[in-house]
Amino acid sequence: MQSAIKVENLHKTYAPNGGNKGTHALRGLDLDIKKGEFFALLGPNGSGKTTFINILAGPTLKSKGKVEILGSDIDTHRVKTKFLLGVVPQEISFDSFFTVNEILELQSGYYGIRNNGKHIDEILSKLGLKEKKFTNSRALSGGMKRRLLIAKALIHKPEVLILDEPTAGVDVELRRSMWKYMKQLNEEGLTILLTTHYLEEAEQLCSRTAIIHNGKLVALDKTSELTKEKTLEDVFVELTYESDTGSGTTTDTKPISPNKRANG
Amino acid sequence: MANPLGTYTLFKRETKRFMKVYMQTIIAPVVSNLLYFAVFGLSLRKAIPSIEGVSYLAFLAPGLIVLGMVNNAFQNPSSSIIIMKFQGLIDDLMTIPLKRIELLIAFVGSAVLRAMLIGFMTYLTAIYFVDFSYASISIIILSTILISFFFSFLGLFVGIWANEFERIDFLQNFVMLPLIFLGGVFYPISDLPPLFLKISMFNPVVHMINLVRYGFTGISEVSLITSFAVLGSFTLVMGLATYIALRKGWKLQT
Repeated sequence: MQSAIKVENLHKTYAPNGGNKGTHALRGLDLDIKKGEFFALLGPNGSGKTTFINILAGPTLKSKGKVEILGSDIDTHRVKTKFLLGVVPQEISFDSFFTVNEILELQSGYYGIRNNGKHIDEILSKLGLKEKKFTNSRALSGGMKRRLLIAKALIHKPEVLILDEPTAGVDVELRRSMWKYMKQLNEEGLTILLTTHYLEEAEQLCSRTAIIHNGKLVALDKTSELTKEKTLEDVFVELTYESDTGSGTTTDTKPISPNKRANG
Repeated sequence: MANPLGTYTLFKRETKRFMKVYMQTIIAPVVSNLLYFAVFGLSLRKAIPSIEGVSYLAFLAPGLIVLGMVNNAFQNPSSSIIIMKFQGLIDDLMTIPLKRIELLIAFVGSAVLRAMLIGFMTYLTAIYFVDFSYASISIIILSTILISFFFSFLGLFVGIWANEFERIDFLQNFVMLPLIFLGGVFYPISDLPPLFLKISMFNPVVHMINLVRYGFTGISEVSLITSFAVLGSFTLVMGLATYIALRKGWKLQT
């Protein structure tokens, strides 16, 4: 099966900045997410998830390694790979000058799409934002802003959707409707990479799960395999927090080899 | 993989942004220019009745046109980028599928449009005060375009460099404003003492105002070739520096 996202030996080191020492955020990450997967990438805060996503999307430059999106290298086909991705960032931020409709029209234009009104209406309906079409983004509630971020990411019909903690601060009802929609999109062929701190979401939605810690892969398997004997939360705690406590440091953790998870 | 519609969309976004707050971006600069006309024009025209046969107001108007254009060309991209940084929208900008040259074209294109608009509106308001003569319309057009490009590049570069509004304010108040005011907007630089006159030759604004003023009045205090050479090379260098900064993702990508 074709790889949707393939990374080999990915490293990211942030340069020292003022009083902060440099950080080695990713340390030789290898990952192969297949086309059509609903894939969970889990890890504690500061484990490198957002750095990884930002390297895929563009805001962060990698230090070393290879990244391919649907077979295209991001070093040689940066613009093409951006067309393939839709990204829902962790932070909520909008152009405060514009309405919901204007934001989505501009986003369509950036991706070379003219007259995208029909698709804009469809997405707004699916995400329950149709009535807010001509409202300024500043006037939206937190949950609506999250949904607008999803609408923005989907407006150009990407092949791969990246969701970086999309349900943080979102109420239960909205979360359910959002996941229903995401599931439907996945069934229609959209590859989805999800990072979340709600482990039960990953457990329910994702066919495979990877756990990263201190910039390294510490587990990768079918979600059903990972949760055969324990809950995903137990596995997560064992591989991250307990391994830290065991070694007494957050940087020299000896990871459980992902290769031990047979179906990785 | 060129993305002309994407480039145009970013240009449109930048243009809509300043048009949405037109009171602040279009009307206010024109009103301040009117005040300059009223205050400086009426008071100084008695002290300086005419310069080489040209009335003081006709001498002043090209300087004020340049003043408005410079400020607005600079402010459009610098404020847009710094606001994006504060609103967390820079990551968005780095995610959209545009090449760096396309980002440059969109930001600078919109800033040039705003500067030309301000220049034209200042000219229209000046018509009520001044009997313009037109020594060379082509020099007026060429020099105003170059001026707009230079300060648009500078504004974009400063926006990329600055982490806070204070840096932009510092540059505007402590570098640009002195250069503009010492650049001969309100007086002929040939009136300066010889030492200051020599120093002024290194001020690019002197050459900008000289060209536009020549275009309207036919008065040139510096050789036109020198002024075009200075303005052209400053614009080229600033354009290249801005492109390189964008290309490297300097202060934009982590």
